[in-house]
Amino acid sequence: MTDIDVLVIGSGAAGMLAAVEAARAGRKTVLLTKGQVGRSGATATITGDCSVAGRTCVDVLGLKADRDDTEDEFFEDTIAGGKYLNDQKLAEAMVNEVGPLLKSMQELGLKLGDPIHSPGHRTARGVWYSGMELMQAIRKPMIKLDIKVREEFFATHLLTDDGVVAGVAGIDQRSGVLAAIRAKAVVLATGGGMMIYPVQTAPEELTGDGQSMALRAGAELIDMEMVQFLPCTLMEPDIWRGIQFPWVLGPQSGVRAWLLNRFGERFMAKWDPVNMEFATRDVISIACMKEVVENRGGPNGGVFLSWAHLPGNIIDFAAKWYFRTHLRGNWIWEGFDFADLVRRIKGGEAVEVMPASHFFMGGIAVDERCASRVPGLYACGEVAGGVHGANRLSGNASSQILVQGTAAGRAAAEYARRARAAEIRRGQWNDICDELEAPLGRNAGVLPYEIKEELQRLANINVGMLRTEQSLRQALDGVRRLREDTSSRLYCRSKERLYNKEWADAVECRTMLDTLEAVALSALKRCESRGAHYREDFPKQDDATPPRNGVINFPGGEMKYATRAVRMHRLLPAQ
Amino acid sequence: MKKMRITVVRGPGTDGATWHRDYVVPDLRGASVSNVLQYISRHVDGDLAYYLSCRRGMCAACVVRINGRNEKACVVEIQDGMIIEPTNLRLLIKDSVVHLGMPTESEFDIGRADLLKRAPAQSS
Repeated sequence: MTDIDVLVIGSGAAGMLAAVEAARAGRKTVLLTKGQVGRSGATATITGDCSVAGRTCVDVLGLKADRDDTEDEFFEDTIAGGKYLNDQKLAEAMVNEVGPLLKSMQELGLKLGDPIHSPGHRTARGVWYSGMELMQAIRKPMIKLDIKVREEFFATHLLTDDGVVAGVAGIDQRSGVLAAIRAKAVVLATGGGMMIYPVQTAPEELTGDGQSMALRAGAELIDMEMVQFLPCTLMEPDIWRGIQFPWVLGPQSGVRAWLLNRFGERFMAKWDPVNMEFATRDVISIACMKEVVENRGGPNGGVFLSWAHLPGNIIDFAAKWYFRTHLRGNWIWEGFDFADLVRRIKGGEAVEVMPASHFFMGGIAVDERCASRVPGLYACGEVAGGVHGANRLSGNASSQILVQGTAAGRAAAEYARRARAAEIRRGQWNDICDELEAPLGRNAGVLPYEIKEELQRLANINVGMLRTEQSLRQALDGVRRLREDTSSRLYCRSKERLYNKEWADAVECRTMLDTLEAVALSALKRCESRGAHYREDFPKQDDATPPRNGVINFPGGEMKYATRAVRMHRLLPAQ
Repeated sequence: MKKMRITVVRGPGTDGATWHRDYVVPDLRGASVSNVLQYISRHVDGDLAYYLSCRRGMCAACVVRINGRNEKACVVEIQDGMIIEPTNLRLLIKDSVVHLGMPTESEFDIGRADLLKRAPAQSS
């Protein structure tokens, strides 16, 4: 049996690209995913844009854009948007490499639309594409290279031997078997941890698994307090909860809708009188929540988005220039028919909206090759932190997945070429099995969904958009309590191993608690407000000293926080 | 409060057969079929398997047969009396979950890999 060289975990575009790149380098590559290839991960939810400098849009991609806009301006906007917390080496790689990589996707058949102008970018850089179509494009080389995949395999632990990656352990849900798979290098591409909040734009499986696994294997997590909330998602009915249609028809890229509180005041004037609703996401989300907690919100705990000042035919016009793959003029957007909602909007009705957890800027600390500090462990895409700093600009997630997916696959292949396969330690494997099986062995106690719901409630109240020392301490106390419950009382009603959803939920309790603790601890320690992180007790950004990254590691089974200087080799914040 | 009755086709059992199981749930109008499958799995029957990813009709991995028609469960609103079945019995994994893997992709064989396993039968 030949050893696996590169084991990729996660099947969004970043993971698929990493697998393709590693296989192209001649390495034996296997891709594992908790979901299904091409049908899961946050990539599937991209009905948006990928940021590319204007000149590259024109010269490389053949699109209509501003040729005076170069990678230098793109870099500057990314750093300014990230409030100078970005790792500038990572950001530089992203802005420079995305164009040619998007070109190679175009050559695989991906349809691109002329770029749009989104908040935070000085010009139109957001090249339209569909995430589902992107994955269909990457599937072609995957099949050609005969990359083996295992779907609905829930990777739960990294195996290490003397601090070096030895493989991955987890639950093969389709057979119910616990398995340990040996590999020389592992690439994590498991996405963010948005599920720690009760309302998300992100898919169901994004529970911070990669962050938790990596931290416990010796990697560091960087700037975990930086969670992006997407403003203006729907609140009701339940089937529409967290859907960002109003954002799309409004501030993001549609027409200039107004955000109002219950008195009809355009409250963005208090936060950003120049950009108003065209401010970046961090500012709008914080402003919305502030209205709600100060009792100026709507009956469901949101704020209002209104198009009433606009003539109806201007609203209709939004669909005409929108990328046709996403919006065809009949108001069907993603899987929903919004014709009725648009009729109400054109009739002058405001829509009650709220921010939903959307993206993790923080994640596993990596270098430009996507290497973590654990030999053999790589991370790419949203699970990796640092590139976006304190706030991600629209379209930059799509740029990140292309650039980092490719870089991680390449670097992991190179590492695997030189490395000897480490051994799986029996003791570690037995401990993992005991931990995973524990909830199946108990017949009473607390159920996984009860832990998850309580954890989401804690995160929402204490670690959302508005934070204080007191709220963050309450969150950490709550995490401690839930950890005790999880380790001693967590149980599954069903003892069935085949496709046991409750069992998977039980494992996710750990990964979500790790994620929430890392977010809360990092937020507690950052005594300033910066980008997405807003402390009511420290509402100003600390511009007196250079910004520092917050880093969490896990020595002796406990989270420890430290700070270090941001890598900024090109741009320094104005003092 | 008005209740809803939802029928879910379960299985396969040890004999390979499926069966109908009725669930009585609160009035969940306004929720999706996916929301309700999750509700049942969490609050009524911990053994019920379902697949859910994007919740917005993009990934199409949650497809089930609803009142005889194949639909994405996350974008169909629940109605009293709905019957929810797997889309394909030959590809059935459990309950409404079927093996949707692309035939063009080659599967990594967990049974023959270089790995350690703790199978259900071996567990204590």
